Amino acid sequence: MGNIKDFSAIVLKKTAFSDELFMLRVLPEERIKQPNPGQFFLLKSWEGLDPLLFRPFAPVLAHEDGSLDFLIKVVGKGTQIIRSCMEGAKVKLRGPCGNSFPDPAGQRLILIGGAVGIAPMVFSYMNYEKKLPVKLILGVPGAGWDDFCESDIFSNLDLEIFSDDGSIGRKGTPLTLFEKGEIGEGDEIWACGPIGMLKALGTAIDAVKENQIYVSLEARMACGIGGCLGCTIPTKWGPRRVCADGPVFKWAEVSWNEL
Amino acid sequence: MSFSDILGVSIGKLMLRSPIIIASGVWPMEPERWPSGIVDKVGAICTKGLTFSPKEGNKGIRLWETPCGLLNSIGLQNPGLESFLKNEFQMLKNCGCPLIFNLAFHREDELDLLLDKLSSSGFDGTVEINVSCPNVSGGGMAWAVDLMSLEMVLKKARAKWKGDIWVKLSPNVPDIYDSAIVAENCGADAIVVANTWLGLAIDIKKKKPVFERIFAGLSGPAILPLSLRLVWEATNVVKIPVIGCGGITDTESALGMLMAGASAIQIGTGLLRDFEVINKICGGIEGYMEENEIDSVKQLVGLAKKNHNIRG
Repeated sequence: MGNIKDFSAIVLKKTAFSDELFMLRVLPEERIKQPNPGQFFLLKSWEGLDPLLFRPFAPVLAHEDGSLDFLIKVVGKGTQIIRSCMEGAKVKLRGPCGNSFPDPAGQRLILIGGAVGIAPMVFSYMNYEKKLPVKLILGVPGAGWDDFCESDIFSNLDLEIFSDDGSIGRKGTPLTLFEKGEIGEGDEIWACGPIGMLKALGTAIDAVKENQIYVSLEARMACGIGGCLGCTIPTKWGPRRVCADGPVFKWAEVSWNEL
Repeated sequence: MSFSDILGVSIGKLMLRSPIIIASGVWPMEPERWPSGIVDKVGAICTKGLTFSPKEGNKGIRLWETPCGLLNSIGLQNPGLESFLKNEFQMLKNCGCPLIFNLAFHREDELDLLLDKLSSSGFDGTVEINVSCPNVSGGGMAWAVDLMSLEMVLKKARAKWKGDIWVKLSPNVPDIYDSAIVAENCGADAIVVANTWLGLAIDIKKKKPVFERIFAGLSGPAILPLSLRLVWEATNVVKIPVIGCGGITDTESALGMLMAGASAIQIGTGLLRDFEVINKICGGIEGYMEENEIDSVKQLVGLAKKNHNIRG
């Protein structure tokens, strides 16, 4: 039997970074298996039938008291309802779902997050910072993301920020770093974010072996345990489930042109 | 009395410990992925729709939520029956729950081949013939829509298969009576009413249909009243058990389905939103029976039909 289950949690804290971006800290009401880097949870804050399904989010942090932080961007009805959650509210979760990043084989770990895709990268950073050199790279659109980029999440982390409009950190995307030769052999890259950014990774990084690049993908999903096959992505091996075979895939195994 | 004394039902030769069956297409075929305690009260589990050759399923978006509903366009992705028998079935056959083989086919001779292959594996239990998948080209629900074709394939299947045959019908027909009667006349042991409803979603940002195949199958609580009506109608015209499927999410909807005439219930989308739904429904039905002094779940079947002329 699997470790995934449905459970309730209490909202301990909600931190808004902008109208559409916030972080939710929730404390499970029962003991759950702690997630590994790359794993995610399904979350919903409603009991009724509309919306019908949970929404998937990777945790940013898992705290010692068992609470989990989720970074959430409002993109539709479900995330809008979650944003309206008050502290003390009860939410439902399912998880931890999916596979996880394998232990890094490289000498340095480069973690790249595009916008909210930074969540599992921060989680991975915390897991590996004591084991090998780790660098975190965040790419954001720019205006409106200031409060998030300056938040406590990134305190004391080796972080470099790129913004499309140049208003935060360096102008450009995380890929800019590779053009300047700041990544080399021996580096292992893990990334999560928009498909365009992930797809570009493999072609942008000549210096890194393809099999040292891992991506964490997102998809519309329903069950979270590999049953419904609603979240499959095309790979070299045929369709694979983001929720059960993923969300972590080797960059080289994803059929990017069919996505 | 034990749990199965109270909630047990029999459908043809199959004894189910509860009337709740997991519908085809929602549940992992790897038992190690099943959350603990979720299938303990399940009457039976339907496999993924299995075809003779492997199918990769549909490209593009496969899921789209609608108000209280879910459109899907999976397209029968499956490893093919042969691979399934060699791999998934080896783990599933000891899962402690009867397995129903859901078989889908494009051409008539494929159903023959599927049944031959299944027989040669030693399986002689219940098959659910899927004549209603809305998400594939050719075959799929076309079988249930064309009554002559339906009769032809079901007669051949009946002559070949010694175990029980359930026929999963399509709601996308002018009326359910005809296909229900054809299934019964061809020797089906039960009918499943029904598969998903053909629907459409438009992505207004992209100004085009969401799904590559344009139409997709609608499930979920949004379709419950439609499923209840079909079950009511089907049980008016056939004597074989009718298994209700479509929109069950809680005790109330499950009881309603039984009272409309269903001898058992399949749950699909309801399980996606709550893994505990089957345990909750079984507990809820038991509680209702105790409160209403009903000894066996069989007494609930068709109760609303018996009572519909009673005033008040």
